[in-house]
Amino acid sequence: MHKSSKIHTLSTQRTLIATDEEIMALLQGDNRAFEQGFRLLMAKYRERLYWHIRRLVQVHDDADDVLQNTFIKVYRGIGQFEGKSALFTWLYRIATNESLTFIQQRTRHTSTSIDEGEFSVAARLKADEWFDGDAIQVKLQESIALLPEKQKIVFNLRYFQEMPYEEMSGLLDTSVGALKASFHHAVKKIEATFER
Amino acid sequence: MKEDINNEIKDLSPWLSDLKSKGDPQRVPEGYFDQLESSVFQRLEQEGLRVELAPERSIWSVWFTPARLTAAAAAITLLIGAIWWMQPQKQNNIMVQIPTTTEEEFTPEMAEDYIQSNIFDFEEELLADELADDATEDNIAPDHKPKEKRRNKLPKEMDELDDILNDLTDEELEDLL
Repeated sequence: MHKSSKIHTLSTQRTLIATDEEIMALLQGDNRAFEQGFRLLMAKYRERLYWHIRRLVQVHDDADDVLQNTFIKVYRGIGQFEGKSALFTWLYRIATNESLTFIQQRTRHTSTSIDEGEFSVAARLKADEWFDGDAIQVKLQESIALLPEKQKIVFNLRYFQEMPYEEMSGLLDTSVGALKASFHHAVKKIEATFER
Repeated sequence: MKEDINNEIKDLSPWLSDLKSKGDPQRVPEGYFDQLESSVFQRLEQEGLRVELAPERSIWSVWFTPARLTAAAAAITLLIGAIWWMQPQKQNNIMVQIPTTTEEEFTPEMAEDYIQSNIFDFEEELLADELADDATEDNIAPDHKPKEKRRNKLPKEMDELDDILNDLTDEELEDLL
């Protein structure tokens, strides 16, 4: 195994060992402990949050901006986390809000732009060097972008992140039955887009 | 669980299931997650949000604070002072080393012996003064002795002189003069 890969693996293992309780204890300590806790929090949840954001905003550069915004919000607001929900649930909600706000701002900007084509989903994906999909996969991304927010989130979590409904239920504060129905509707809408 | 999810997708939409099996077209730059932390902290600093951290202190600076250095200096000074105080000193030594005897037992011979055996402990100036006093009392001519001492000796000498003069005849006295 390459040396840097080994270090990365060890670092990841150390991060996984840190429990939410340990991270929170550090975040409630002095400035030095706080920073250590925040680093552990980022290391533990950065990938899950990134992919959640990336599925929503689709382009890597945008996902990077939104993820950094999310962590800055977390840094500023961690004192307000009361521990009523799981730490990831709290982080996930912040990431979702940041993503949706970003999409809304982008949509507003696109609707006032002379050349809307430049800001279309297809155009953005073609410009993104970190997207290797073919025409069908671009079409899939366009179809997902047209879904209502809640269905979009449920579809992404189920289709790409393969999240069980039970876990999704805690995260979205929605019943399993409602989530199943939401996913079903999302799949049918995407199919309909392709049939057009 | 993963199998259940894939079966569910397959039941709902076989072609979406096929599309999924082709893999994820979205990729992440290599090392992106490793440098994310520094990017976030950089932005926190730019926005003036990062909490102030006290500089990392070395063991030296942790232990040798100004207060501790002052205390150590004071302790060393006291120690040196105590050693100096406990050390036998020449002047005090005379008193310390005098044998513990009662006044009746302490005879002049004992004092003489003590002085002879510890002669090098006495200051030269002190010894010189003592010798000078002895010389004054024993060796200096009666005329040069203090007046008080001379006055004490005069009556006895005068009586003797009177006796001698009385014993002499007039002729003998004239011969002497």
